Amino acid sequence: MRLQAIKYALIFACGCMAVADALAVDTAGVVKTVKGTVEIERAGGSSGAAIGSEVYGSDRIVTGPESSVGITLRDTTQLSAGANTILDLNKFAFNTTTHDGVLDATIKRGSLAVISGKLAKANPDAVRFSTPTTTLGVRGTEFIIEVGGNGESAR
Amino acid sequence: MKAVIRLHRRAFAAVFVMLAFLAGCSTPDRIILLPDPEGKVGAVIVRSATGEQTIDKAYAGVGVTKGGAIEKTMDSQSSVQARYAELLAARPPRPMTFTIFFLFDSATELAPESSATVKKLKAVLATWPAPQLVVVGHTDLAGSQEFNDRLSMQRAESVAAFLIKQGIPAREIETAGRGKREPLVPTADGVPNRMNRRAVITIQ
Repeated sequence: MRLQAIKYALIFACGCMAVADALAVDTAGVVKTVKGTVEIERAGGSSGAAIGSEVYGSDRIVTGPESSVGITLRDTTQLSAGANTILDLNKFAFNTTTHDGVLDATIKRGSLAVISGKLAKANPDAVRFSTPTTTLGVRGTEFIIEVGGNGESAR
Repeated sequence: MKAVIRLHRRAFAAVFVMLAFLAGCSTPDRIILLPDPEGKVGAVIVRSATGEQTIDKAYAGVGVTKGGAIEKTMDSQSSVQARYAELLAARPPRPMTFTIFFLFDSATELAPESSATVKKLKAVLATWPAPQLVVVGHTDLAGSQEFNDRLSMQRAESVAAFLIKQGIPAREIETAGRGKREPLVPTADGVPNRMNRRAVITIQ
């Protein structure tokens, strides 16, 4: 009886490890271009971005002067942020089978170019970009957002 | 007492008007719609605290003041290129897709041209920054959703195994099955179709 319990515990643990492995799929996206100073901030600290850095669903991306970053999200949404930009990814989820999910991002300062991906195509209402003054609904498209003045203070 | 309240209200109103005025003076937020490489244009719906505007033409845009006032703008390809050259240069490469077909109703036997397709794919991969390959299996519309979800996943895994055998690192590959949700050739439910039995590899 006890042995069996241990056996099941082991099976369960292995199952969990398999799940943990598959969680690489839980990243929101990957950095594809970097110029100058680019930081990815998340709970537990910030780190400099490099090509291949993973981005998660609640990360803040901050670029310095004369800097820029390009990120491809898992649903093929392509983002690029220009100099002196603060971009908050508030939420990201994408199911490759059903194309359900959510993309919610706020640009607090600076500039952002967007090429929408599979999420916007399957479910436009699931995609939202906002600035300190506006909320954008996206109907499958490419666009630029530039926040005027110095934008909103960081926090 | 009443007079004091009224005075306060007036002071508040004055401050509010002044703030709105100052906000109006600062640079507005700008949103500009771009065409895709084929010239196609989608639409963006911009909502502020006080209004809403839909942009649906290439290089059309809006400016939004802090107070929420939305003003329509019109740019051109050259003015956008000049103003946003650095931002546009930072965009990631556009994802590319390659399609692998299957023999008969097989989940494992790839069509003979697959090797040539993978050769082309590898050439693209060579210069791609931090490449990720998403392999998505598809089926035709014959059979139940559950059956096709399984079959499409098997197809994706067959293609992934083929890519790994051709020397592409397994850690760069993600697989998924989309069942019969996205046929290449639209047909009625239940109809077998060779073109729909496929896996699409997206390099992104």
